Amino acid sequence: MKINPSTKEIFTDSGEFVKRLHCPIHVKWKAMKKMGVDTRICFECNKTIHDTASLNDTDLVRLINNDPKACLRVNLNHENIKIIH
Amino acid sequence: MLFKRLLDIFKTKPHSQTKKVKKICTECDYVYEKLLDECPDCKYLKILMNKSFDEKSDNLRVIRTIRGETAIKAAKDMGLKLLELRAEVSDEFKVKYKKLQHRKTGEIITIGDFREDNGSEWKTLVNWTSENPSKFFSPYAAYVIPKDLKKGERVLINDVITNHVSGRWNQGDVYRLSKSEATWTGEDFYIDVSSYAIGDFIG
Repeated sequence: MKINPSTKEIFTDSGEFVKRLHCPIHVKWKAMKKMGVDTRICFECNKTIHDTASLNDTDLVRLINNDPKACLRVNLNHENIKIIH
Repeated sequence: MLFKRLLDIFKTKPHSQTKKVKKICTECDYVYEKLLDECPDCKYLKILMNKSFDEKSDNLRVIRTIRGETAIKAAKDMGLKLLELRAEVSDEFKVKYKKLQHRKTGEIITIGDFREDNGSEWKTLVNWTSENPSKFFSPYAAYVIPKDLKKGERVLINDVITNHVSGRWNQGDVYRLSKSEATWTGEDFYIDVSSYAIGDFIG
C-alpha cells in the first residue's frame, strides 16, 4: 500500500489508485470508540473506520470496491505503508 | 482590470540581471525562479482579489495569506487589516528522495521510501537526498483579517505563515504544516496543529 501525504491518495503497491482520503470532521483515531481489533466508530458521523495496519492490497481493494465511501485510517508509520511523492 | 491597475501601481523593479534558472513575468516584469508555476508577486495580488476566499470552507471563514512586499503594500493601500509576520522556513523540515532510472526502459522514477529501494533493474541517478520542500519567496507575509472577525472565531488558513510540524515519519522525514484551522485571539491566530496534522490519515 502506498500513500502520497500531500494529496492523501492511496495506491496499491503496483500503483493502482484506490481512494483519496478526505474527512472534514478531523476526529482523532484515539478519540474513536473501539469496535474490534481493526475498526473504530466515529462519534461524529457514526461511520466505521477501518485501520489499514493489517490489510494487504487485496483486502483494501475488496473493501473499497464493496463500499467506495468506506472510511480508512492510514498511519505513516505502519509497516505496510510506503510513502510516495 | 483592477488587477492590471494594481500591478501598474505596485509592481516592484525587476532584478537587473537574469540567470538561466529565472524567468521574467510577462505581466509585471518580476524575475522569479523558473521552477515556480507562476509569478509569486502576481499570485498574491490575485489572492487579494480572489472572491472564492469570501466563501466558507467546511463552514469556516477562509483567511487570505499574502506574501511579498508588493501584495502587502497593495493590501494596505486597499485599507485592509493585516497581521504581518516574518516568514522564515525552519531547517527542521525535510523530505527525502532518490531518483532512479530503469536500466532497460529508461523510465525515471522518484522514490521516497527506503523500502522501495531494492531493485537491481534500476540505476541510481540521484542518491538519497533530503530537501526542505518549503521555500518562501519573501520574508514578508501577512494574514488579511476580515474586519468583522470576532475574538474566538474559528477559521481556515490555507497558507500558514508560522512554522509548525505537521507530521514526522519514522524514516526521518519531517513535514511542515501548510494548512490549518485556527482561532482568532483578537491579536493573533492560535494554530490548531491537530486539525490538519499528518501521521494518522483518516477519510
